[in-house]
Amino acid sequence: MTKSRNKNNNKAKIGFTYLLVFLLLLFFFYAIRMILLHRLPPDNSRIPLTALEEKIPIPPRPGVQGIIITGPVIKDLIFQIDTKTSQLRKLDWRRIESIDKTADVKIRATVLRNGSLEFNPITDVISPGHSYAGNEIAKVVETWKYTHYKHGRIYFWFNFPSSGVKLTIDTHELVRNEDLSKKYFVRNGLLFYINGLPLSCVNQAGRVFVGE
Amino acid sequence: MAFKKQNELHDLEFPSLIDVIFLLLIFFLVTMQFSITTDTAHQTSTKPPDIQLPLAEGSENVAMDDIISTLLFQIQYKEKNNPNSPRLVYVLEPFNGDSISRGEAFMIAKRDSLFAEFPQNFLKMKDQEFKNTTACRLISNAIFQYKAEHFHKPSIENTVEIRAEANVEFKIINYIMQECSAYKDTIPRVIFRTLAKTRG
Amino acid sequence: MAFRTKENSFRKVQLVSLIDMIFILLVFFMVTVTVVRLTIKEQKLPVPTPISERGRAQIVIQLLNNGNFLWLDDHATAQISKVMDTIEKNYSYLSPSELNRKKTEEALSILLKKNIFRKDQMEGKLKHLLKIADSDPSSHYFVLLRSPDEIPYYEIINIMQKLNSAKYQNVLYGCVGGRLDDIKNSQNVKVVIEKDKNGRRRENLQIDF
Repeated sequence: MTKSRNKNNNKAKIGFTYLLVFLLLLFFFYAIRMILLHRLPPDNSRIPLTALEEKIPIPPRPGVQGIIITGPVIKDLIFQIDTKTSQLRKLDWRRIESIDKTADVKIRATVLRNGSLEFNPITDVISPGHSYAGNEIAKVVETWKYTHYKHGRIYFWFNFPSSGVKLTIDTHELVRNEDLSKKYFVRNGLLFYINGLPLSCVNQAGRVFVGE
Repeated sequence: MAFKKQNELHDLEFPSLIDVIFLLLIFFLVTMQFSITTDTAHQTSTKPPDIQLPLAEGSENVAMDDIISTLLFQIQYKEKNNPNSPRLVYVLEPFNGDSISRGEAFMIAKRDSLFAEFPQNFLKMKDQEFKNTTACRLISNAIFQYKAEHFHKPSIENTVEIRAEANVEFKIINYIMQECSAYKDTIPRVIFRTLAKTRG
Repeated sequence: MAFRTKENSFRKVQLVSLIDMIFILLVFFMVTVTVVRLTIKEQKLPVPTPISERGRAQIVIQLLNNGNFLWLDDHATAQISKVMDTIEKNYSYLSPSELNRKKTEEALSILLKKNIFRKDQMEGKLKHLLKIADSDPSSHYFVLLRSPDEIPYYEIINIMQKLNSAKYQNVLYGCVGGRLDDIKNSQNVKVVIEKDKNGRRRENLQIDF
């Protein structure tokens, strides 16, 4: 008697387990269905009660009197330090700052049409009382080369004691090279190659007054 | 001694029941799909088409009974399956604004002589000469009249259909399109009838 | 008398029920599964009608009578642009009208030399275009098909049908009648700089008939 009761209990348990599994599967099935329905675009998941008048725009039409074929995008040219130059040297700001904290160096240089910088280290580097810093900076700056999109006068002011802008670059005398096609716009990019100087301390659109 | 045979209550055949339920469940899981059924899903074409249309997948199936609901130009060879025979153009229109089957519209076009033949040398003709042929004048008049009666304002729904043999020269098709374009945005599209192989 | 309970025999597989259910399911499947068969169905392919003004396209395909075709896209424009820059530099002494004529001549010469392809190359070019279109759903292309009068129109339909298979339906098309001579005899071919809808400046090739 107990055996048959046990057997019945077991059967009920198995049956109950099966039912539970079945219900769980059914639940998963509907859950997946709901997720798939939600992922469909609204038009495909719902049948509207009223037919909405679809406003389809008139598609583009071909012209017979001529064609304008879309061409490539004209990328702006960037006047900036040409990092592909092999002799390019980075100025170590912190090293010079550690040697001479109050260094005030101005450089008056010329950007040639090929992008290289030209200046006289004696007459074009103005650093009264800070000759060491002036020499060090001049040695590095003369290796800088720019992309060949502009030429003209460029001025640098390395102002170490300043609490705000420490480097000012004056580019207002630069002009675009004549051999460039008029379709290109030339923008200024990064005009210095310095390690240890935050960008917020640099003003590339400033004015530098250097005595002649 | 006679032993009473006990009538055993048959237990519920759980394993079989569960097996069957699982089978049905899997079947419904596999076959349930979110597709929009259209009437044309039931359409099966058993007749070969009367003219050899170009093969292409279009964006819309033709209605079950091939009802024409707008102006349709049917261009075919005068002699069936003879590409060297002259081209004929038939003007098929819905009757009094109601949709009719293409077959009926074709019979009406034949009856009312709404068809014309392109000259054999139409390819060599200059533009003005070609426009003055009977067939071209029939096409332009049909478009003009249909547009006046049914296309009152520019709409993408305003279309003219072209049903032509695949090898028909583009000159004729181009003429129909140019005539439609003369009305600017009023008839912004033409519909080409094509044949596409689809799953049935 | 104590009767020993009969040992439970192993449950036998209910064959009859099983076979019944299998047959029911078999019949069900036979009835509901549709046999895949290919039927020929008539379909509708919409094509825009032309307009009587200068049109815009990303790609122009000019079909030729010998089966070859001229394919003009942004690469062709870039080629022409380079040539025009060189002419502008080297012939700056010419008057504006003479300079324009020189540019047109050179541009047409380049267009016809470097952009005519064989019939068997059409499939590859269309596939490449669709690949690019499918890789960027936000891009839009309009392909202008120009065909001479003699070409059977199914050839144009074939091309349009292939263009129709873009995944995001972002390749539109239109067809007009036209010959290579219209392009060859153009009096005005130039590169114009225009802003696209994203505000970027582009060098577009303008050909007037």
